[in-house]
Amino acid sequence: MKKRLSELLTFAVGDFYGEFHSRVFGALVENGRLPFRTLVAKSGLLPTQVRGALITLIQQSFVSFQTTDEGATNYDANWEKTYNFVIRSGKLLQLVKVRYGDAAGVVCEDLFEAGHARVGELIKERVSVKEKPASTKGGAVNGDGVNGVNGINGVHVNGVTEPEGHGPSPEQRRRALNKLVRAGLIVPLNERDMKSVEDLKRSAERNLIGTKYDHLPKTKKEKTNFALDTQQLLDGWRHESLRYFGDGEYSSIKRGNPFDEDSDDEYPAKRRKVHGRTNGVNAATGPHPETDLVVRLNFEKFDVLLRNQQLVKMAARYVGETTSKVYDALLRALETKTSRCYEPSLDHEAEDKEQPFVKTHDIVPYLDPNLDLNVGLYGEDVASEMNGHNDDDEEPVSRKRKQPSSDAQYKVEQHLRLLAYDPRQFVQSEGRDWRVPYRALTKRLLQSQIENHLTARYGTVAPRLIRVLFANGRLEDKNISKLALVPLKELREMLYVLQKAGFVESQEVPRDASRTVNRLVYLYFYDQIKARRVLLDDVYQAMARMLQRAETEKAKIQVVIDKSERTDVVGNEAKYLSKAEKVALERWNQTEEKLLRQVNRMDDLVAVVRDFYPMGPDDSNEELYG
Amino acid sequence: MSEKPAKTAAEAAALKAKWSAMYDKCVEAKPMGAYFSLEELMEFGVAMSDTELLAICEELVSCNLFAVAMAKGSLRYLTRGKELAIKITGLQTDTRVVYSHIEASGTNGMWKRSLCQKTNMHDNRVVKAIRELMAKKLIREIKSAKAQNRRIYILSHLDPSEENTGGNFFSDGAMDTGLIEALGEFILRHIETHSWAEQKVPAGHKARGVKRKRNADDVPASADIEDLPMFKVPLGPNKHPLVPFPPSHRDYPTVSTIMDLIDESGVLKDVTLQEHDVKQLLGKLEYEELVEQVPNLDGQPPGYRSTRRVWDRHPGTVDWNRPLDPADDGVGPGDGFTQVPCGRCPVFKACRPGGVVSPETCEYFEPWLKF
Ligand code: SF4
Repeated sequence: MKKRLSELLTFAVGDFYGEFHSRVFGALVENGRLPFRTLVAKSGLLPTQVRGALITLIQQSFVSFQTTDEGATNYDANWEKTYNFVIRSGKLLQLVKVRYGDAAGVVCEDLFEAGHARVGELIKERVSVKEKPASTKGGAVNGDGVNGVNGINGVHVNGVTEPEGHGPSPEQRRRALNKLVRAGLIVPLNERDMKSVEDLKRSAERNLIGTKYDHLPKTKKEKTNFALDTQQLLDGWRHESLRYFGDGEYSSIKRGNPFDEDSDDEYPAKRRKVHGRTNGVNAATGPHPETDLVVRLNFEKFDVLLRNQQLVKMAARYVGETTSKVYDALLRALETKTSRCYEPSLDHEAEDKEQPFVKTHDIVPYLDPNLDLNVGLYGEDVASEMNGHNDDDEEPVSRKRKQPSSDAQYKVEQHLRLLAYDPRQFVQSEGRDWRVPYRALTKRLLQSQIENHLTARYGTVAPRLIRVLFANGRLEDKNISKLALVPLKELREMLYVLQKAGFVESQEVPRDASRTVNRLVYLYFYDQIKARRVLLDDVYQAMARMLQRAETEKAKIQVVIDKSERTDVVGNEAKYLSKAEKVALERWNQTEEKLLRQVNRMDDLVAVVRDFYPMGPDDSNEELYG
Repeated sequence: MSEKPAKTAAEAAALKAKWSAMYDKCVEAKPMGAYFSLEELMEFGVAMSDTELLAICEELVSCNLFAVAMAKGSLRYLTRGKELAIKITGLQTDTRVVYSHIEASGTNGMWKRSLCQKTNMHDNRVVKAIRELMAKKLIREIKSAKAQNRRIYILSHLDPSEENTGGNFFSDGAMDTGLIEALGEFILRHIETHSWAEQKVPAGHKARGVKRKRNADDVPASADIEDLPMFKVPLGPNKHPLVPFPPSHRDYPTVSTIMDLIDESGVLKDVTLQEHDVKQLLGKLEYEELVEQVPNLDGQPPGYRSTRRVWDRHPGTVDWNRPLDPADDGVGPGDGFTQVPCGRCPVFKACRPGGVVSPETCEYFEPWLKF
């Protein structure tokens, strides 16, 4: 496991749960899988302390365990899940609140805290409503800003606005939960979900050796096939836990989906039309049909949502704000058909060929009804353009119909066409069917994020060189100089900086067959995967520094914080706290907010660079260097 | 030679008529110094057979009106002017050999070391020959962008090739950044004014002005976070937002319209720009992400438009290495990382908790955390 990432996670776990947890987690991260006894030794804690910490860590899936055939139990840190909990939870909760309402946010939060839970438990009335000011919870990175809890809006999303201080009612919880299950954000827990990614892979491989293969793969070809088979088996397993709506065991319930009791999603009236369902069923009053089902959060699906957000942002940057909102509607219409960011077993071309289509009229219901679609289009000229020489609009008929809905459709298509003809090709069309070449687009997104980063860090020459190398493969410095039109001296300086930082690499190749030293050529090249790794490492370190600094800042005024949290003081701050103390508290709040906001933003970067596009060498830039 | 039967006077006269006819045809067909393959020469219809063709060529070579060269792996002849031929005839053998090698290298020129190798002559002899040729102004020395320390020789009336000069953007082998920046800026300005349409605000939407504003374009100071545009909205000359042209738009600048523009404007005094020069400049602008290619739906060459400008560009981008101001998220390049002290920290690699350089004692944070 990467050093920087482990440092970050170990620190954040400590921030959340305290020192014992941090030391147990840290020991596992540092040493890899360990049996209990060694774990105790490495963590320097008492067995009872370790056991106590393990309970939480396992419940949260931060740690997984396996029992071998001989009966020995080994423990293993699970960094992906840990990262999502300790770093990303604030952001995800914020997303859920904005999209599905405050009640959904509360349900998700409970599930975050519990790790996994029974449906019945989740929708039960809470006796004590936790009142948490946004920033007292140690290092919990809480959305983008102070008002994380009250939500940046959550107002027009649905009618569920609770009075201050009261949690949602069981019925609100139930609706919220159903919504989240339908959105694929909450899924049934499968035994396999408790395992770490590496573990799952190992057991898939073991499984194959016993059945399809009788020996470990040796040749290159065998290895490739074996890897492919492993992935397929993993995909199959994954599918099993996700096929709640499909032909799996749950669908025996004739009515269809037990979580489909009501469908008051974001834009209710239109939503119902989308599904063509006349679903007048109000939230049922009896017990939930799946009250004993154990569920978990589905981070793969959250990644899809986060990626869509970033793609929308990219559209806003390169095309326009309103167009990006239309794009948002398109991406949301596609969300139900996209269960994860990419299929590991497909290469990018194959995957993009199979992306699902969506029709214009299925996009319209996802539009914010307040959005003025005229903005961002080249106003009056639109009609004449279309009447004139536009040959590839297949159905000019729809324009003539004057119904408002078809007008909206027409405008939506105008926006989508801007996206389709943008050099980045945000969308592809076949008549009125639209699809998104996610894989190619994500690669672009990723690259522009890296370039953007380099611009801010090293100035404008750096991304220029990277673009030259990205587009042309391996090059001598002279040739880079000619393409980028940067003088050699300056170019070499920048190449040196980038090479030292790890973003550019070089290679010596003999110019001819003689292989004499003075006939060597230095070729420079850019490896996107390597660059991603380098960047991630730096970002992890900076994130850790933010959290560490927050702790230092907090320690400075710990006395005041303790005082302000005393039961006699809470509610009577004006009386008990001096002016200086209030100022210090206020300053601390701002400091923490500022530091955590940056962690949150760095996590945006991490998501783009790490989570949306395969990292493996199987998808290396062969199209560049082939 | 000696085995050949002596030519009769009549034969000699016929041959002379033939070769001078051949020479005339060549000069007519291509400019002086151009290459001809045997097939091409045959097509002139002067020689009746291969043997005759070779005989004619041999004559022309011996009069120095033709020079032999190898190009693309086969034998070629190239033409020389009559005056030049006379000058060459007056040269010493060594000098003549050196000359023909330099001549054969064309606009690429030839390096002294390669001359020694090819002619198989000693350094001194080659130097002597070069001196004579330089004195007679038959060749000249050039600086090459490829290898700046080498002495490269080229026929004096030829312009060195792209490879040597590096194109119009190089003078004496060094990059002419002044020219590049000025011309790049000129092209960019032109492209920028033809890339985005300034939105006319439709009359019917004035009534919903407030909503409009919130949707995208202006930023009311008190707007909710939710309604803030993610990026600064670029405005046109009338202060209306710039929006994309519809995909059917055909009038984006192209390489050829840009070339015409440069010619007409007279911005360049003593340089004639070739198409590939303009392409090279556009390439640079593309690598800077200042312009991008837009596909043309009619199958014409793509046009260029400026990349949507959501943050300010440096005037002239001369200050290459200055990182852009990352302070304002969304309206400038940068990310959560480059916005914090660690993102630009000189001792980043050495920093660790509890270390000599550490987050606890880091002094870069103080000014950054100030409110
Ligand atoms: S904490 Fe301070 S010293 Fe350490 S990397 Fe960040 S800015 Fe540099």
